[in-house]
Amino acid sequence: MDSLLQQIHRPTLQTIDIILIVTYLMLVTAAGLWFSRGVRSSKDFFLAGRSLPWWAVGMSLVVSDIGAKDMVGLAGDAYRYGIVMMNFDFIGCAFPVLVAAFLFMPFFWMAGVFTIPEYLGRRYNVYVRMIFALLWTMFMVGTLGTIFVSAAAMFNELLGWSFWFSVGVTAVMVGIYTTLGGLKAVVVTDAISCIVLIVGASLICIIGVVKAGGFTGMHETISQMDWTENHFRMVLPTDHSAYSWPSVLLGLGFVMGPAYWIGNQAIVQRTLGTKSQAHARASYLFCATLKLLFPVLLVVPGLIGLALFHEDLGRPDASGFDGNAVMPMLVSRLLPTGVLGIVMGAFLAGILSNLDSYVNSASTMVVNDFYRLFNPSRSDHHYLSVGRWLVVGFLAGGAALSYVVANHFTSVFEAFQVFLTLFQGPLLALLLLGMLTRRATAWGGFWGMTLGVCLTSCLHGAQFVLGEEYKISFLWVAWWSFVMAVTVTIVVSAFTKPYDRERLRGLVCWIPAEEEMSHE
Amino acid sequence: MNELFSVLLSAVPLADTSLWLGRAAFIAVYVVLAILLMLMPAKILGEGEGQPWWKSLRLWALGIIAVQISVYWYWG
Repeated sequence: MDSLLQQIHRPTLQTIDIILIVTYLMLVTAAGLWFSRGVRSSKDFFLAGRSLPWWAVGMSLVVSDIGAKDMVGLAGDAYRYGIVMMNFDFIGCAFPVLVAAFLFMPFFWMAGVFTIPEYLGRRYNVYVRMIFALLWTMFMVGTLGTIFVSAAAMFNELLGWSFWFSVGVTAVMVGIYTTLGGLKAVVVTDAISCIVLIVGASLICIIGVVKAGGFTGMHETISQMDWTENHFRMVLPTDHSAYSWPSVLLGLGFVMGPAYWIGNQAIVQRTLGTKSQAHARASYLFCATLKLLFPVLLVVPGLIGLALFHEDLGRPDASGFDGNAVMPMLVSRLLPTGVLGIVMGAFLAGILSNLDSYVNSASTMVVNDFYRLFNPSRSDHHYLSVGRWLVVGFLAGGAALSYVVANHFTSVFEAFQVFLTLFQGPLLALLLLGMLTRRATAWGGFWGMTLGVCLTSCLHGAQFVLGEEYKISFLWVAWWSFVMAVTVTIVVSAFTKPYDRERLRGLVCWIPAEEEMSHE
Repeated sequence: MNELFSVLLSAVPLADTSLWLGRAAFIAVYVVLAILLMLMPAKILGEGEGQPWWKSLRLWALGIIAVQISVYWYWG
């Protein structure tokens, strides 16, 4: 990574750039500290006292999903594959967000849970709850590693900071307000970050497209290359190795997207922090509306890089190609003074908002799905204190893992998706079967989850045991692990006894909770 | 395309069809979602009578779906 990045001319930050960056950092930290004043209980820390406005939650949802890893990673993958990468924000986001808003969110709201594993524990058993909490926590710490790598790549390129210094500074900045303020501080700072992110990403696109000769000029330049025949298609042929349309539709649209937007603690926790069900639904819709912009803002930079700098960056199949270098090259070569400060602010926004979201959610899950189970009678203040210390611990763990991510994956986006596929299929299978039918049993869910995750590990591990030619697209891995989990859960449930109707009240959509019935 | 991947792919009945079918499949997903939303009772969505149109979450959702269908129609 360093060799290509080192070839890129390092831009000089002018006074105006530094003022903009420092102003942004001070604004975010001050806002985070201001909103940390009212945190007195674990409910304040983990669910913001259920007082968050829908528009702030909607913006927070956007930047919890989109961050520096997406800006760096998607630009690289768009350079390699083209606009097919927009599917991650269209069929992989807009569709599941709408499904979550109208079908699933009201259900979690009525169940009155803090976390998704908590719901699974009540619906199936405590083992399912603990294993999923463990998997989510591992995923979140892995994701922290990818975010730290993105931060280090940008800081190294733009400021000349070393890898570990960049990681350390980032961890301290996020740690200050996330440790003190909990979810409310996270959501408020996310809303500020969302605006900065949109402005910064828009500036890269506008300046880049103009320099590439407009959309027409960019299209013509890219079309003349002999390896870009599918770069302007969102639906790719069935023999495409990475993003064939059946794998995108089934793996991304039907499994990974819904599992992420319906079962992701970092997402659901925000909507549970709103004032009412209507506000929670509105926050999802606002997020979906904003997310219509992001495929353009994140994918077009990759195409700009391809049109303007393909001679420096090279072909993706050539040795030494580094997808993570596309975005730093755009930033260093295209942006004038002043604009550079805003774009740096956007990167910082993406880094901070992603990091604070994941550490806050990981802390919430560990306290509620592990610590409380083994220490049920401690004071609320004690749980609050444990949650804060866990934030510090997760930041340290993510920083340590960033070294592994930087050395074992070709792109941070790929690393994130591989971590995600490890359990998204089984998670969605258990959520769907658990909500839709009372016949899914505790042991059916347990074995469905276990064998689904085992299959995922085998499919991902095939390339390491059998060779690179056995590498399977992570989208197919997600789909087949979902199919496996559904099948096993149904088969085992057929031979085991389900819970009785009263035990499942409020947990299965056909058996409403008492308060729902009294409303009707 | 490796051997194992081909075996897995062969289990998907739609895999050997053309790109236009792919585009149609993506659009169909959104059309089905739009129909479900339109049929959903107002009571479930918490929509009251006399509510201004711009406060209708159902309408906003249908707008997002319309954009998505247009995107897959043109760039699919």
